Amino acid sequence: MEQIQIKDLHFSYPLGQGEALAGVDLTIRAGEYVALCGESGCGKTTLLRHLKTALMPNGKRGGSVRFCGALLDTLDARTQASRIGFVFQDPESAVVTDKVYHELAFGLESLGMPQGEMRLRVAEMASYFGIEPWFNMPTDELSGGQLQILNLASVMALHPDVLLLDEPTSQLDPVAAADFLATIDRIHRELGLTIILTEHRLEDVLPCADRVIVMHHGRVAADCTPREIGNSLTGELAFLRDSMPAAMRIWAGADGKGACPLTVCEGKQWLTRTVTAAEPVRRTLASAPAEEPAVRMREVFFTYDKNAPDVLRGLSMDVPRGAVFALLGGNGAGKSTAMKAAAGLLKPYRGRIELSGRDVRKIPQKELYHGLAGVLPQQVRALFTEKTVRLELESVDRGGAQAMADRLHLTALLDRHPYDISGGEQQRLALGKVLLTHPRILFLDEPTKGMDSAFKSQFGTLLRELTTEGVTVFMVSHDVEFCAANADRCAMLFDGMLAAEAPTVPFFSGNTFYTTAANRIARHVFPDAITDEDVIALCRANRC
Amino acid sequence: MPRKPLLTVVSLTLCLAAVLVGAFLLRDRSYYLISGVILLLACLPFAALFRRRHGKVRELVIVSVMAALAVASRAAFYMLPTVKPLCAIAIITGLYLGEEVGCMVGVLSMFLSNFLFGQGAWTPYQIFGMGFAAFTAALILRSLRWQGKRIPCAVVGGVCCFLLYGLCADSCAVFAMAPDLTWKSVSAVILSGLPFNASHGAVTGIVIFFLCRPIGEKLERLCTKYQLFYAAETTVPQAEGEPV
Amino acid sequence: MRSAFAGSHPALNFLFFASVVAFGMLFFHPAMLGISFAAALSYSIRLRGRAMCKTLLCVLLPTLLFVVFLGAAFNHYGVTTLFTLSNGNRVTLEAIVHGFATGGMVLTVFLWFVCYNAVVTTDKFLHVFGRVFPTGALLVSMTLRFIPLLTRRMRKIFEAQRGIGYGGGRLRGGLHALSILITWSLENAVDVADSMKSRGYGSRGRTSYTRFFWTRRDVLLTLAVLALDALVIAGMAAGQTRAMYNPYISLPAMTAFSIVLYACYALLCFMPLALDCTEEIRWNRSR
Repeated sequence: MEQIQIKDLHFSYPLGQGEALAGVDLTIRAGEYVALCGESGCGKTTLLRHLKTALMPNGKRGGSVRFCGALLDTLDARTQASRIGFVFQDPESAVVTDKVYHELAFGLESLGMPQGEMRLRVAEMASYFGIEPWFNMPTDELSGGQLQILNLASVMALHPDVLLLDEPTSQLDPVAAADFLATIDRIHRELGLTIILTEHRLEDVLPCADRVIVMHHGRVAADCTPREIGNSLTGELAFLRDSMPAAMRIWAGADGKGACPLTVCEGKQWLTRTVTAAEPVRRTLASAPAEEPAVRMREVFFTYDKNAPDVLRGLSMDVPRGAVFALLGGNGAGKSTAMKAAAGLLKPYRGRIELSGRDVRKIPQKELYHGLAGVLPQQVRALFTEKTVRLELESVDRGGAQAMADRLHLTALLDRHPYDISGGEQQRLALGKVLLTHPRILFLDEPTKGMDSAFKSQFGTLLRELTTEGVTVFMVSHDVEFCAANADRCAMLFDGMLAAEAPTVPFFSGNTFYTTAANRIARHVFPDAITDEDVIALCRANRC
Repeated sequence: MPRKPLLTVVSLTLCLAAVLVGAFLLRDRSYYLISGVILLLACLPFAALFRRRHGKVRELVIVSVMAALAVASRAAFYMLPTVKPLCAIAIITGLYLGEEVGCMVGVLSMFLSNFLFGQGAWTPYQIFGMGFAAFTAALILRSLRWQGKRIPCAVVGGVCCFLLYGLCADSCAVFAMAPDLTWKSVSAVILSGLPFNASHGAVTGIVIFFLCRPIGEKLERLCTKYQLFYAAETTVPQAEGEPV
Repeated sequence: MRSAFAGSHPALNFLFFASVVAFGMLFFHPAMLGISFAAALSYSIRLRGRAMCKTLLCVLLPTLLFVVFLGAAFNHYGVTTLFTLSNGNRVTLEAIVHGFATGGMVLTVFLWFVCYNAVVTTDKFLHVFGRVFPTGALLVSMTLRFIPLLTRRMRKIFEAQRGIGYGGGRLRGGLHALSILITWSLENAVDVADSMKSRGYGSRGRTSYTRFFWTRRDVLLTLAVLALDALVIAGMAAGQTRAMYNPYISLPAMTAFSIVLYACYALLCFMPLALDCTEEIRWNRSR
């Protein structure tokens, strides 16, 4: 049965150039799991918002959207609210009330449901999504992953037929993201809901999806099964390659034959069939730098509260000068804390921290954050103070603003409000502000969160450029793939201490779980291959 | 809005009734209770503001955000514990979004601030005082069209905060503590609260001086962008730009 | 502290506190004052434990002394002069006793509010007033969600600004951070509104979900409170609670009726504590 029919949908934003949607025709059947993908600004979010009247952006519109045969505009708000569920990108701002149970009941209250039925539905949702342990908690004490599950449950309580999700995992860490997507898959399998999900990290989505719709410049560029996408990755959909799962990327990069593998497991099997095992190629390792490290931490102890357990428990590490250093680790391992302590933003109660050989406590603030250290926070909005991008850059350094805008491709946006530009652009603007203080050591807290794959590779190049200028980069990240491709040394923080620290290649090839998907696919034949490029090159060389 | 004057009349009548009951039935010294009851009744028209259905969800959220900001704003001055910009933020909101909205923000934030830091017999006095001060300051400044002028805004805001809020909040202590409502004892209680009220008024003035333009710009941007509050009434609806 | 009274229906909690606070503000009679004070003090100590003792010493005792001082310094009525000040004003026993009565009243009301704050949580408040003011109740709930969120953001802003070299002074830094927070949160408000609209907010006939239900015990206790209220009011109307401190201390004569009145008032004031104690005894026995 055709549940959603989109006919020749056109849309343009009042201020935007060109059409955001340029004639979209789509039919979605009940019970399908559709992954909607494409680069930033391709119109996927705009399309998704057109499937619910309450969320339609204002602008010029043409064409029609039908839901179960009826025009969407003719369905009243109440019907739409209950039958079409929408989960937003940022879990923090989608939660409205102060208590978990109240949030679960929010939609039911809005629709005026009687008490008895409300109780049943809330109870069902709480048990289906495993919310009971935190049912009575204030929403403020939940983690990002829990908040997003709560949003999902609150929407599901209305018993929708269609679930629309707008990049629901972009603000979550990888573990929470995988959990969330597993829940979505479970809803799809057990309840047969129609699911339409936009995402730019497709590793965990594609294996579950029935259908992939690729958007490009406001049009549907491809509409097929996930496996079929693989065949086009070398051709017209090459722009999409970086956002596909590792197995597909490697398969496409190495001109694979047969059915395209989607998961690590399938990729591994395919690789075993195609290549002969190679002698381990030990890449030459960068010898440990002899000169004085840019950051030196010695037995650092830190706690946020006198009576709370220590977050850092005797952390010691060195960040070599001019390197990209990545600190990895799970949630709550203390990564951000370690970075803030190193940058002098937090004061450890014991231990010594040196930046370029000087005790960080003895460097005056003026000197420390003007030319020595610069910190890019996780939530970049905390940096924006002005009305336009130009003023934003000029507020730090008048002279260097224009050059920085050119370097970070912000020139076209100079007169826009910082909140009117996209998330990736905001990230660049924030980085520009930090770089204008001319730091010798750049501290980055989860810099790739919410970035799409195209910008990630640009960002990696930028970091490389900075290191050739002698800047040291200290990065805290969850993003294993990005670190593997761009860091010189990696360290893993666990339980307030370093669990491992090594140059990138031995670091990842030594881990079994905490490593890249490419390495997991190929480690049984090429133990040292950690990035797609490594595996692809070795595949080409060792084809049987 | 025909309901509002009605409620004001009802609440005024009830206030009068409370005074009469106090004067004739209770006879004893019971200013404490009677004044509390009157203040609760005086808050009724304020409560009516919250009863009204709000057309736009975004407007409702903005009121909530401004009230939360007013309460959370003291965290910005954690190094200066005497600086509490709650009143200033309520007045600035009223200045740009209308005295009614300012009053709502003042009442809501004072109410929640009481919830978080402990309620007492003073709660109705403080809520009434804050709503009254925010409403009056915004009304004066708006009717004189002084929105953009920082110094008059700061002065009027500071004075309203000092006189209206200070007086209302202190009257609780007067009714509770003054042994008899004689001029001497009342002035003694009021005098003891004077330094605090004066500094509160001054801080409010200073914060209004520095923040009225930045906050105003932000509120105006939002209102014109999404056609909210006054922008919805004054300008013809036009296509709005939404973030991608 | 777990309390049986706090576990009962919010409407009962409200009715009880409205009664004791109103009576606490009305009665100047030493017996009535004493009963209410003892009940409020013991229940607040049960609810708040040690923290209460500290408040008692640091806040309440000075308040009491201040009120007594005010009374003694500004009132010169009374027939029993204790001593005469240098400016010729008399300090009388009546004025001091009156001062103690006023101070006791302020303290009692304060203590009842301490109990109120511990028993009536936001959930209960919203349950009772959510029906009358649905929009207001939602606004309160939303604002309660935003306050900790914004406070957390404020900390992040301070840190972020320091990390790119913006120090500011105490006042300037605070205003700067506040300004950033306002932009951030106002822009965010649109997303919040979208999330509300998408879940049907604004449809007609909003209901409210509640976790509170009337039990038989709650109904009985509510009726009991109402009956006791009626008795106390009857006693008041009969002039049994009158107390005069000017020009001399005079109290109504002790009669059988006044003893019944005191007993009723004590029953009312000590109800939460009695409820808690019986529940605790039952709990201990059942183990």
